[in-house]
Amino acid sequence: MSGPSEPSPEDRIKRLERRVERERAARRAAEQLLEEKSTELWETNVRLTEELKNRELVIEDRTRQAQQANNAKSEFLATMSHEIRTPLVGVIGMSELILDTDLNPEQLNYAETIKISSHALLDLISDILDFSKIEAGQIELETVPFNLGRLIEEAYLITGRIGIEKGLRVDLDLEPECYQNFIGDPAKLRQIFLNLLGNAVKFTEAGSITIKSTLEFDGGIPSFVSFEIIDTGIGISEEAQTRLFSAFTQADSTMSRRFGGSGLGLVISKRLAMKMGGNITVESHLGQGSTFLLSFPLVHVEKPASSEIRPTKSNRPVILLQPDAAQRGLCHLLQRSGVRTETPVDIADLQHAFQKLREDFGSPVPIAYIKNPEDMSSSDVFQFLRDNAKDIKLIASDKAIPQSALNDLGELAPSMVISEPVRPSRLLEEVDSLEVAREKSISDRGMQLNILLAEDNVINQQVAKATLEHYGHLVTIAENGKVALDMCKVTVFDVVFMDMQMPVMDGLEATRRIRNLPTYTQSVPIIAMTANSSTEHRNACLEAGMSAFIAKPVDRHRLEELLLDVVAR
Amino acid sequence: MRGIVFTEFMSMVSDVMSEDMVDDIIEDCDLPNGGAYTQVGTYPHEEILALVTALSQRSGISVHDLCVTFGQHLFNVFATNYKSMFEGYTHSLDFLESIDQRIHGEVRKLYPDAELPKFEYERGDGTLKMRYMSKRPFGSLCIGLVNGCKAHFGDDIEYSYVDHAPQEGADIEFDVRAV
Repeated sequence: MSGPSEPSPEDRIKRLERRVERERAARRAAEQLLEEKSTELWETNVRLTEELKNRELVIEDRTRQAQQANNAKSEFLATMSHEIRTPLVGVIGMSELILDTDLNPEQLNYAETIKISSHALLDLISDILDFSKIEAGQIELETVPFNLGRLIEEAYLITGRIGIEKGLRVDLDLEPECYQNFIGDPAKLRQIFLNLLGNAVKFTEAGSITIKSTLEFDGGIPSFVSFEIIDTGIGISEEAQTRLFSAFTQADSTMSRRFGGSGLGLVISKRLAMKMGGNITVESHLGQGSTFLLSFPLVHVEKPASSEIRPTKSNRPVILLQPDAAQRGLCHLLQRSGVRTETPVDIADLQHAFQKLREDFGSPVPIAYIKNPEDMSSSDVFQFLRDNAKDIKLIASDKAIPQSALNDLGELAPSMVISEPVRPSRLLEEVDSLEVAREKSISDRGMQLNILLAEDNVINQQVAKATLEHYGHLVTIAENGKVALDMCKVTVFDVVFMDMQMPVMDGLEATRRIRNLPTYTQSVPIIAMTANSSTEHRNACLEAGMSAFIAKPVDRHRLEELLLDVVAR
Repeated sequence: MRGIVFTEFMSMVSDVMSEDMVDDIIEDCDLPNGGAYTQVGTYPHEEILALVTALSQRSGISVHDLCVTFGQHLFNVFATNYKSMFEGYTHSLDFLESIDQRIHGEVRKLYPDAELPKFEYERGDGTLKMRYMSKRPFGSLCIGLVNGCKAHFGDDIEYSYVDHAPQEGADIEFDVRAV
């Protein structure tokens, strides 16, 4: 497709010159475009960098604001909770005192409601306080020796009793090694167990609750423990399980209306367990029940502790009467601890076991009558017991032999009545030493202590005084540390209760000075009454010369236990 | 119109006909920039129309046929220069259907002011109805691009089209089916 005629050489040159010029122009245009694009790119880059910097500043600022807001929130929660607790303690104490007076049924009902409500409120506030402390990273764990098995039994007694009242079967099945002393934070562990067991009881209407331990050993020493808390309750859907351990949520929002509670319990428990190097997980099917798994590492106490459960002295026997399915934990602990345990299922079986044990171990044969086995009626058992009364040492649960029937038993009267739920270690101790008389409280023994109470708050004074007097003690009140010190100079009290924050002279200073008195050596217990449970605070108390602590609000039973304990020392 | 259309048109004319033909049609059109096009520039679309018309007059080939041929050539250039745009496609139908969303999406990122044609699609089982609408009269170029696509993927497709031939611009409905 060339042109019609060949161009002249001049035309050819001109054409080539135009072509070169066109190429140059194109190159210039391209370079200029490139230059413009580069400038544009550079400017965009500068703008982006600036924008990025600004955004970073904004984010930093917002993060700081959020952090400040969160800190303020935690602080506010902590302060509020503390402030609310103080008057609440007064309400609880006063309602308990009212309950000790003569009330007509209507008044009794009102006072009970006040007590229950204020306790519920206190629990709620404690949860919020705990949670805000965890949020603020202020939780410290104690490292003191404690008996794990007994700690769990305490929680089991409290929650199990409620379960039994609901008609549930509760079973504590711990390995004997659980009843050894370990180092850790018993208060926090108790809180976790109370929460998990409390939930199990709360969300189970029928069936059973089982607590089972699995220990791992390192060189024969327990080093890790897992507890399964198995219930046959309402269960938790898979979707709800994902939200279960988040703050302020229950499995679903209708729960709080149906079951109450702050929804913080599990969150707190899980965080505490994690702080201990452990964890809490859940397996559950809606409508079929839940299994919570609590696990944590164990630090063993080097020296053997007095309350440890060791193999029994001799190969002691016991006949355990209870339905096959119930409380396997009792039987397990007895057997694993070296007690020859017979579990007859019918009367013929019982006769046979009784003969055998009498031949092998002599008379009397211990019988632990917890509940009727499936194939024995109460009358069968009573008939058998009457027939062999003089050859039997009877331990009975309050369910097996009701209070009303106790008086009619005569010679057959049980040497020991234990209430349901039966603590496995308690039964073991009873079998191990049938001679031990029924534990008596100080007041039962008629022991009267001369107590000095140093406390500035008038309501707290009244509550503590009335409580102590209820147990038969003499109480003298000092309204501050200085007054307490002056009183101690002239009188040697059996026990001194010391509030921490008081005008004129605080509890720590007063304790230091009292300890300097020649008559107040360590043999006189000085007990701190404090709402502050931090480790630092406790150490400060110990350094000042205090012997023990009791947390405010003062729980009456704890108070009695503590008095028994310090007096025994 | 993107500069690549101009530079590729020139290079096609130069390859298929001659360098002189390039000179001649540039002379014929009396262009403002003297035909100094660069790939990265942007130029009025009337200029490419003038160049195609000039080539048609000199060669005696219809504007339609020239545009179809050029479209096919342009597709090959795209397939060579912008390989990443073709990754993941093995069938013409899938690729054609992706032009509006994917290819033109990327073009917009690079050239926010680019005026792109519109596409409407209706995908059936082994069929694709594709409507191409532009403010510029490049319907024939589009036909060439479809041909280029078919050749590139080497699959058995056949197509028919209806050219609505509007007063201005282009509006063609393709009916593409796998054989």
